[in-house]
Amino acid sequence: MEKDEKIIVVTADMGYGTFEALRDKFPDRFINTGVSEANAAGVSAGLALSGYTVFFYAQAAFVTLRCFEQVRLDIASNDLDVKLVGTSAGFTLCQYGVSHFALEDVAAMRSLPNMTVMCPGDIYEAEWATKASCSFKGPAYIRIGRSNSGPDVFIHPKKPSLKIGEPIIIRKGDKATVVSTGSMLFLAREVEKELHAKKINASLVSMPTVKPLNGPKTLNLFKKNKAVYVMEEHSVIGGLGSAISELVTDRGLPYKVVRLGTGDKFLHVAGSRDYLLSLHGLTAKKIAARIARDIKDKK
Amino acid sequence: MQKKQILNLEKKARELRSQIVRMIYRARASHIASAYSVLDIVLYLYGFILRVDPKNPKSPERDRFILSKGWAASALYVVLADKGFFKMKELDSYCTDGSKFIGIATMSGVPGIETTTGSMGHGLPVGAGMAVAGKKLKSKRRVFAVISDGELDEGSTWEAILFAGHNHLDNLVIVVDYNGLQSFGRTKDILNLDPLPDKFKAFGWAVTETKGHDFSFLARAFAKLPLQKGKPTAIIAHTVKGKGVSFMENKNEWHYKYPNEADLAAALKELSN
Repeated sequence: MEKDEKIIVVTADMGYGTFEALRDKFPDRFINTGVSEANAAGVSAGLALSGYTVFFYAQAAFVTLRCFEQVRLDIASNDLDVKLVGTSAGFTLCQYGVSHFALEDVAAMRSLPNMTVMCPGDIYEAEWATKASCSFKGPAYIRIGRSNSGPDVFIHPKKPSLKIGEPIIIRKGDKATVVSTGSMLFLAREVEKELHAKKINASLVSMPTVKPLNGPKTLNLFKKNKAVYVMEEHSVIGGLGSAISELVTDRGLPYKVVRLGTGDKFLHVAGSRDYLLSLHGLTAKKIAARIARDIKDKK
Repeated sequence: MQKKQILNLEKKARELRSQIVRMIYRARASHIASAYSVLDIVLYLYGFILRVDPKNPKSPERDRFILSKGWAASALYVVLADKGFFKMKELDSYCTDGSKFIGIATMSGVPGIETTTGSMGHGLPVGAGMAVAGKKLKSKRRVFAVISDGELDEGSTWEAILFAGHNHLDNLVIVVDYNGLQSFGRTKDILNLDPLPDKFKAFGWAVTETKGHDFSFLARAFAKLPLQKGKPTAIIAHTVKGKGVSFMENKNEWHYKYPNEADLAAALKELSN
């Protein structure tokens, strides 16, 4: 915002404890619309039609689903330079229940023409996604989860080199390929470690872009092993697993895509994020065991 | 406003209504009654109020006009053509295969269309965003949004009304095309809006009421903008759905159906008088 005075932030009353410094530094480029996501999306469109690059910020469930129709018509159909930033994606707000879970947002955003969808997995990727979203004029959705409650906020040992649509290989292995998008990256690393303990040398891949995907580079992931395991804190319907499956089936390729996300059911319980993920079978132990079993069966 | 100007406007409005009925007849399109309801307002705004240049339709300092009730696009198209944004002849393609003149106002490359509307309750939030941008850019631009009474059922419209009042957007003007009919029937029966001026006032707006088919009344309503410094302006224009063709007036069926050959002839005859 310091370098580009056309950047403006719109929030639907979210960001308590986060945005105060930004508001005080750039009072003219910070708009709080109040709790009114539909209006905020329309206001964002009006600002973009006046030459601004807009970052519209709210919780993931609300910035996408609450005002989906405004995002579709006002922002996406007009190809406007509005970046939707959704925080608390997936089960981040684990004690709040279905109202605050965001598990369908990627599917919804991915269905919109013109929309770029990015799910960063650690702080490096988040910084990259924010900057990368400014490298083009047009709408984007940046989905921020809380992948890890501990002090460890980086997966990549150093700032990785990233490009929109391309996978990034964190560890190379030859027995299995574990792909993760967004906040599942920390759990995916645990899966890779579990496999290592079982003497299965697995590749760990992060895909911070869900749309658009670089087809050849994504399909390259199947080169060593004809199966990939796709982990995401999102419904198995419509997320990265679906996107990769579509790439494969469109080309009629003999590959296997295992979608490891939340199942087709609502959870009506409270609990920790790890607990909720476990109800969908998403634990490092279970996933590693599944992969090991698949490898054994194949032999 | 002088008597002669009024007579000229009334004549122009009859010509444009004739053009609309021909377009809608040809395309077998809907929403003729909505177009007739709003036409005089749009004609007056483009004739006397809006600072827009058909030769430079993207000028940053231009006033923004949003037809939030985008399903009345035919009324906007004929006025834009009349003002020289494009040729009236181009409207022959209205609603036909591949035409950019879509039945609902869409950012399809038609000069003068500022945003896509017609899904109800979208125009005002986008207009509020343009008005905020105008303030921030220290632009003299004003934003005009024409909304239908039915759009006042939508929560997003009221979100924007609250937002505009709170932010003192006195460069924003909305005109309510208050014809008292919505999709299923009378507004009074379906979801009553009255007392409407009081609602706007309570949300921090300056309000006036006018007659939406009487150019001398319209001239008075728009004479001083904003109505009050520091407040957005709401002009509630009382209108008649289907205005100008007697058998269409106040008949909701003309929200949907298109005129047949006999209807076309009868309408053109009435409009030529």
